[in-house]
Amino acid sequence: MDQVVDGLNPWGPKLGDAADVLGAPLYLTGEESLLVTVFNGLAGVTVKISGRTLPLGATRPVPFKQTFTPTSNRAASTQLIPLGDGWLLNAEVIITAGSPLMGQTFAKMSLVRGLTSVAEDLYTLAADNVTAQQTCAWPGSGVQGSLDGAGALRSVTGTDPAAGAECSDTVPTGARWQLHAWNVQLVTSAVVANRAATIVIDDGANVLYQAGDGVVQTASTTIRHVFGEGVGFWGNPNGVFLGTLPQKLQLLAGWRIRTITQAIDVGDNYGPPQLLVEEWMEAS
Amino acid sequence: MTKCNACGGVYDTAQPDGTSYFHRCPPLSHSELDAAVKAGKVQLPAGETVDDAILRRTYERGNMRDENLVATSGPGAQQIKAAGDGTSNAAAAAGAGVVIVPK
Repeated sequence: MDQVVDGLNPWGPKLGDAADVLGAPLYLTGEESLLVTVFNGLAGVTVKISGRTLPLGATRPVPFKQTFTPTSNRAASTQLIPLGDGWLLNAEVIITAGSPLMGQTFAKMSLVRGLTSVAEDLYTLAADNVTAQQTCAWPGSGVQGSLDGAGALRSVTGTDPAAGAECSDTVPTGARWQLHAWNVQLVTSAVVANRAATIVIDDGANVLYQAGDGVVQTASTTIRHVFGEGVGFWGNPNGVFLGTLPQKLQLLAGWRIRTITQAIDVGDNYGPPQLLVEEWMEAS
Repeated sequence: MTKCNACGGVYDTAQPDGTSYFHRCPPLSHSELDAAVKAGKVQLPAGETVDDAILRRTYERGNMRDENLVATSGPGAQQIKAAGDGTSNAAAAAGAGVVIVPK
């Protein structure tokens, strides 16, 4: 079909009949690029960016495609795709390698002016979590927040501390966690003392929450200390002490989940904590 | 497995679910603070015991390691917060994980 060009129109060339079948194309002067920013927390992920443009003077859409591997440390990874002049018809981001859960990879597509790292952001086309089955697409996805919806459930194995040391695990940079459950095994030495293990949530400096499980652990015993959302205290001398966590406790990057143990001995030995968390990309 | 040379903690930087783990040294425990006081590295306020001190404030290691990134973009995305005393290789804990019993 012929393209009608009207040089007197201050808004640029007209698409003519093509406008009726091409949805809501975005006019490009040739100075704009597509900037894709990805926040990813899973190793082995490959992202594909694809779409179509209608170059000025062309009568058929031209597809484009590019893949890249974002970092897996939740830092921003970017790809800049020159678009030429004409019209952007559609674009999408999808995972083509790796299996991130919803919440582990978040993508944003923007129209920017320029081709360098200081390109000016003009318009956010779309933003959403992406997986191998769910795209972030324009038009279609809209602009979603990285904290919207359910996060990715994760079972995290923390640091196994040295003998006599406390447990401590930190919410990683770029992540937001909701702590659902936490447990750790403590093997006490033969030194006689009543150990009282408590879980502590702090912001890296200030204690926000501290709770025990209501029972002391004596010498030469092995006890698993378990804390869960909304549960009460319960002590089973055969091996499990149960304590409570606040419900819907969300933690920012740099906040810590750790222990303070009254009467801990140099020979006492915590194992690695196991955390059940729900994680989102903070995308900040 | 990786061992932190500052605190002796052992951890796996690659979690089984494919994500990465970023270690940060824990604050001193009661027994560690007690040893530091006896060694003259820490002076408690007058009249305060180690029991009091461990509940009133947090004592961090001077050689603390924190592998978390400084930021998620810009130069900070390439830097960890504190290298501490570095790391060493460590064997996996004996008896850890899943044991397959032959039929």
